[in-house]
Amino acid sequence: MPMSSTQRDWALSLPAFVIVGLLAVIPALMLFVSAFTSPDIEGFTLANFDKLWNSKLATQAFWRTIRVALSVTVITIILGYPLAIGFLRANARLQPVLLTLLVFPLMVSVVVRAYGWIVVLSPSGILNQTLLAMGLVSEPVEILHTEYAVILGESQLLLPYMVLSLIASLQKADSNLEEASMSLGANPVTTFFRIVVPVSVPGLLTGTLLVFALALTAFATPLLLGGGRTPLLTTLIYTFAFTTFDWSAAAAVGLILIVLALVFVALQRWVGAKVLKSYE
Amino acid sequence: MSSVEVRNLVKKYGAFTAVRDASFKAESGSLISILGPSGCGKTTTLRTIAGFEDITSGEILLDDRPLANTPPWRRNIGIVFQSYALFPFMTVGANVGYGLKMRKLAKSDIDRRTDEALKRVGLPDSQSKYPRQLSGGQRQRVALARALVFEPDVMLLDEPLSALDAKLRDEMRFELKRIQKQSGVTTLLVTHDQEEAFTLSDQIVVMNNAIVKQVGTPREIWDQPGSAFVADFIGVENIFPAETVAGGIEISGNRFSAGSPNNRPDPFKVGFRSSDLVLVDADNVETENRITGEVIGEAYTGDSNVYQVQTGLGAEPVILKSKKDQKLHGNVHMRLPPEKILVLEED
Repeated sequence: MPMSSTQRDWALSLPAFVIVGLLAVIPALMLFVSAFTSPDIEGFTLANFDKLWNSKLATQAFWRTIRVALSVTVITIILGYPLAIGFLRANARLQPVLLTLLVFPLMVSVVVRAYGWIVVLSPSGILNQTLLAMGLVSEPVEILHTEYAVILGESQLLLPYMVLSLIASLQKADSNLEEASMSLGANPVTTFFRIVVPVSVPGLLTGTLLVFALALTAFATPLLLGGGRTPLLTTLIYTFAFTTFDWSAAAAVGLILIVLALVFVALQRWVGAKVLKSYE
Repeated sequence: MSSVEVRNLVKKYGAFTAVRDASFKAESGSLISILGPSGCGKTTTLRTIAGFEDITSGEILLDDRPLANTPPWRRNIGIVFQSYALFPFMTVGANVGYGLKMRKLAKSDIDRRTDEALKRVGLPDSQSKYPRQLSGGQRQRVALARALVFEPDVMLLDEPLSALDAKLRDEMRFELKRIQKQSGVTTLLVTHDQEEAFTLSDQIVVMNNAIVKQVGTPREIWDQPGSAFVADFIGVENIFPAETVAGGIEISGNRFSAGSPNNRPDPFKVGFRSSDLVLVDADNVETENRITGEVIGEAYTGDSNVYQVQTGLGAEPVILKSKKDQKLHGNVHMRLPPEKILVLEED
């Protein structure tokens, strides 16, 4: 019997389904199962979560992860606008060069860049040596292996995503909008907040989602710049899985991370749906 | 309402001069056009008046008050951009009310004046629509309402009709004139379309290559284009180099009697319109100001026939416009009335 077109479509997409299923769905289910099971208890249990809830280290890591991701997002927004606007105002011949400079850091390994920051931030690093030489501090400032170092490193890492998203949406806008606003009596600051920001909202939403999600799941940067003293959820998973071999706890943290990401995506979607109604 | 005067305006970008020593004045309540081909410096001139570009030297005066140190947002000048530049995420009402909001008017006043402005441009009840829901002509009206609602001293229009199709353009031309007259706002319009400039303006400033070539009323410019460029730009088809000889002028060795030799620049060109040539019979004995030639091309334009006639005046054929039913071929004889000869400065 000949296949209907629907049947054929299903048949043709089956290999893809199988691969995705094997690589993504099954591990996710396994994670789910192990998060709710414990070697000491029979059947499903919330013991893993209970353990995390009562652990100071885990709760600190939870809040720190949110704090870092939010800080990084805010910093990339604040730095992203001037860079995106500067890029669009630059000479057309200069733009390809600027774009290359902007994207170039993405081609350098995260680990290499973290080591770069270590060179700068360590107690004997460039920053501290300069501060000491200038007499601004009497002993090295402790930045490395703090939350600030992680925020700094991740902001630098994720800035291009925000800038590129903002450029994409600002580029689409009518180039006369700012002038129109000024001719109507709005000074440049008012124009920025009333016209430029609203026009770039689609890009801002995309950039926020990208940066927040990537900051939430970043691993190498927190590990190298934050060290063992300032664990985030991602580095906590690593510790549970490879240092204490508590795979159930690792799975539970992983699940929390997934839920956190999903909540944020939902929030971003909801805001987007509300705000973008007047855009498309 | 205010007058706007541009005095010896110069705008340079590095080594490139966009506007060279431009001077003109728009009287209070009048509509003045800057007419010229693209790249002639007309939009730059408009942008300096708006305050978006610094001026290299010269002055811009609003009611005899220099504008140089006033930033764009304090100039009280309304602008309609070629692209309209409506804020896409704001409703029509918010777009029109934006200028009033910036002036910190009360909400009720903003609403009332927005309603009035939209009514004036023929778009009542469209406050809650978004710009994307409007047609090109409607967007144009919103842009006009937005530029007029805060009662600017001056309104600037940058190629206001160029984004519209031909039929709508004709319609909007009348609308624009009506709205401008009603509001009485001094208006400066930039265009490359001579028809637009002629039908709308009280005064026309013709620009080419960063230079103001001529300033005058539409009639003055039509009747007495000062230079070969202006004549060519406003559609004088026949332009030839000429020289003064005893009792008249000579074009490539052909003698013509023409008006007074006074005020004739040197060197100069002459121009005449295709419609000013008079056909004469071959056996007509009068030979003064006669042009004889052979028809080498023909085009039908709907209400007339246009012919290219190869003559002794130069390598370029003479363009001749005949009545609708008059078919021409072979040799033709034309008379060029002396009063129709335009004496033009060479560019």
